[in-house]
Amino acid sequence: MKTRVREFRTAAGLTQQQLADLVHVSARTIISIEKEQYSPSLMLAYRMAEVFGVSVEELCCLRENRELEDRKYEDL
Amino acid sequence: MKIYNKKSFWAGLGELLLGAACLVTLIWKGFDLKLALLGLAVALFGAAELRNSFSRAAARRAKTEALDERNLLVDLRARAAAFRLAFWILFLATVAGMAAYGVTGRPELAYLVLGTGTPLALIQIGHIAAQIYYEARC
Repeated sequence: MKTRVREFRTAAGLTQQQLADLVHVSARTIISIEKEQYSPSLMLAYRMAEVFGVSVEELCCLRENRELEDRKYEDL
Repeated sequence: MKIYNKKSFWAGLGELLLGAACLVTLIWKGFDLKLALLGLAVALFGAAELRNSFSRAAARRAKTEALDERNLLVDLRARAAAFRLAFWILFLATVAGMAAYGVTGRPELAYLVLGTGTPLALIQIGHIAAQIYYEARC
């Protein structure tokens, strides 16, 4: 799932480890989220959004991801 | 000194004791390079784990790793893949054993089929039971 975690993290001047410590996950999880290999749970997305002071919709590009998913269903 | 990670403490102590047991064996039965290296490695791991059990930061890191959602998902997927692999190996061995027994009639093959078929049946029963259990709770 596409997210803006890297964008907000670098804007906040945080390292991946620092962000991981703030949201109680491992740095490997943050790396996987930024590489779009792993989709965060709702609670983790909410925690990260709180850290950056943005909404979950903004952080996780929900509208964009929903449109991508809808396109997959159109092909069926 | 406070113990922040009890699991790490006991594991470290166990490893140190194992290393000490290797040393005792070396003294008793004479020097063996492989045993000496193994004992040293185990004792060092034990000492490091024991030291970490007294560290608040290390305990916190260990707890974060244990509860990390991605780690839990990876572990779950790995266990599922291992389960599927074990199931298919046992299934193929059972089918092959049954076919071979049917052709040759050798009683050893019947024991082989029993040996592979029994865990296969237990896996299937366990799988169905777990599905019923989690179906009701999720």
